Amino acid sequence: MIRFHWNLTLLQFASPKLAEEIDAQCPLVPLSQRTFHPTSHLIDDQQAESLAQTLVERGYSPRVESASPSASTPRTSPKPQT
Amino acid sequence: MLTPSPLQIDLLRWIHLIRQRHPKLLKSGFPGRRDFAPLQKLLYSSQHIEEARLLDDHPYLIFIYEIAYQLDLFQEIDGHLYVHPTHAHTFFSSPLEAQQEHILQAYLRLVLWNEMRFVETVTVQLEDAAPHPFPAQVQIQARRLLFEKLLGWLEFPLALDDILRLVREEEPDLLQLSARFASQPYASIWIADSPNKQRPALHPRDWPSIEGAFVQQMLSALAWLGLLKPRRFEHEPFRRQSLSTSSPSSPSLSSPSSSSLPALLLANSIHMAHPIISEHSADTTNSTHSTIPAQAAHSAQAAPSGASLYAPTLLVQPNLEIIVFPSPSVTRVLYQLEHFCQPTGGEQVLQYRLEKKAFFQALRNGYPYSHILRLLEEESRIPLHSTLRQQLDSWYQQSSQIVISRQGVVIETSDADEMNALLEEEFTEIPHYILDARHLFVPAHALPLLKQLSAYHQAQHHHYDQPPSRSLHIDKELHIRLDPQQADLFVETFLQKYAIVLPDQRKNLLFHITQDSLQQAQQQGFSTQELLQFLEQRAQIFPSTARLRLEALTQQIGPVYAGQVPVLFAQDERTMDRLLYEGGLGAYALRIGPQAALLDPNHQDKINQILDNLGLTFDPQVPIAWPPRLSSLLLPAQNTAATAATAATKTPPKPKQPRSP
Repeated sequence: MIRFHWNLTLLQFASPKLAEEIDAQCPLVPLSQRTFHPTSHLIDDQQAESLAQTLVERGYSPRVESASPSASTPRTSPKPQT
Repeated sequence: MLTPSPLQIDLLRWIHLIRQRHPKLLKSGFPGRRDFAPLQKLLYSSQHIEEARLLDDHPYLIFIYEIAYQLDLFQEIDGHLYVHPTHAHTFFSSPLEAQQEHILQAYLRLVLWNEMRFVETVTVQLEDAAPHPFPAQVQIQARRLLFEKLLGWLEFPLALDDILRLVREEEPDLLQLSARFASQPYASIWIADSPNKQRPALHPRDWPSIEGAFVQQMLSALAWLGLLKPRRFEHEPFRRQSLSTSSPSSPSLSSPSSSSLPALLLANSIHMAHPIISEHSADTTNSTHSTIPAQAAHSAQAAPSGASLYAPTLLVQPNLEIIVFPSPSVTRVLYQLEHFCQPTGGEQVLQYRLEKKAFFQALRNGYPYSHILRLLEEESRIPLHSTLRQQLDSWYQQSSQIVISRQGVVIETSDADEMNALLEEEFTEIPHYILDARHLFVPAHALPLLKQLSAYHQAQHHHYDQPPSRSLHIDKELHIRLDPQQADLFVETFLQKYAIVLPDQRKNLLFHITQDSLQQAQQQGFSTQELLQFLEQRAQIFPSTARLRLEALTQQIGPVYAGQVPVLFAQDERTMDRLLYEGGLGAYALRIGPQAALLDPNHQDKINQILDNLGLTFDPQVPIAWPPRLSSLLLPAQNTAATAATAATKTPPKPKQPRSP
């Protein structure tokens, strides 16, 4: 049986060494909801922005991938101009 | 129309700033100086905002802020400002004329903008409940009325004095002061002839300082909107924003003079908005301010000019500099460009620079690298230079060291073989990360491709934006059995924090929460509340005994005592009252019911003495019937002998009730 788990957020590091380095500064255990590998963790999506900010403050440059880049795929129309 | 007004560019810059800084709103309801000060370098129209301590100290700043707010281009979330991405994208992607029309309509109905707020020479001193002379609704009506009039009057250039004269002739009561305040139209209005000298306004003498000032403020706003511009005289160089001199200290407000401003011309269409690139920009002999580089000018001339051909908007140079050319979609391109480029100014031509910091910030905000490349490739008039591409690729690689991929899908197979088959047959074209032998992750941008999978329709689907499925069976001993078909991906990891894994036929699916496992979890900082919440959400049934046990193990239930303490029963409530309060036992007893009290074993002698004095004997050795006949004690009328089995073997005679007359 194949199962699809929708709406999950993955934190991924390029190497175990980098993951270890980040873990030393910003413990991953409280963040990680599921660890598949030292480099791959499912995290709570609500923590994503603050985690990115924390990493920037520590001197890293994380990249964020998301479903609908705000600038390219508008989903609603502007407020009606009355 | 190929060129937006300076105000349109400045709206883009506000949005750029909000995207970068997420300004915090102060008590005033506006961003603080620290957040708006960087606008000094970003604004396209020349503004001196250094002295502005608050946002509403500066007319132009607050004006574009309110316009952006009215257009719903940003939103407040938890006290911070964020770009409203869909609204902003849609607005800046619409035709320039439509944007101008939206901006004009927004201005004409702007409730939070008050023209008289920035007329320093006019103050209002209200007495008690007197109505305000310049309410928002009246100003909106005056704004609309005057705009209609100006459309008719300004088909040809007019001097400011002429406009004021026309308003005074045709709409002298523009602000409805005479209509609303009858014989004393200026009753609460004061005029400052000099900084330290104020006097009551006189009607109609001070019309130029009040209604006239309103007209000037509105003309300034129309100039900011790009709808009104000073006529260009041959010997007077065109000065951008020459009408925006209506700062609070502007002397022209109290003494309007045609000499202070050039003649005015209302554009009967929006075509006369300020150009991003001047029509004369290539002819540098006529412009002392042209900053367009020779290469850009050359490229502009060389660019295809056919109306039917779409001319790309950008010149992306190998040195990472970008020059913007007029185009119908210029604001759409700029809105995208400002996600990952830093504006570097430009007097007659907008310039940007690809900078690492802005590039990283865009990727951190979820702006995809593929969109960056696509925009640059599609909108550049020359092919992207290989060195520029290498630089961008290098930055992208740096940013890929840590990736947060939001709202994607984990695909789970029963075993490694099934995963291998899936990868070989179906995932050759779909971007994914392999997590382990049974799990892979598909990022959100690739989700539409998943529907093509043959496995998609047969698969079981779990949606993590909905409450989790109830996959746990819990018994009263806190054994937890997990249903693997229903369990979400977090269950095993979570339970391993709090429980020991028991050997079971199905590996890792039986857990047991014990005192030791809980203590270990607590030592590692895991919260019992979190565990309770987790079990409540996921248990098919969470037995109350299991919950009680869990709460007891985690000391959520206070200490309890089970031991021997003497107890005093009485035949009725009144007798107990008398024993405690009249007999003096109250000091050594804890009442636990109308007819029962616990006796303090540490003061047994005192208690015995009191009971002896009352003629009652107390012998703890006397066997007590169990259970005490509490039910009968609660009904003393039916049980006069019940207390015989209690510690108090004798009770005082029931006092005689006074006879009723």
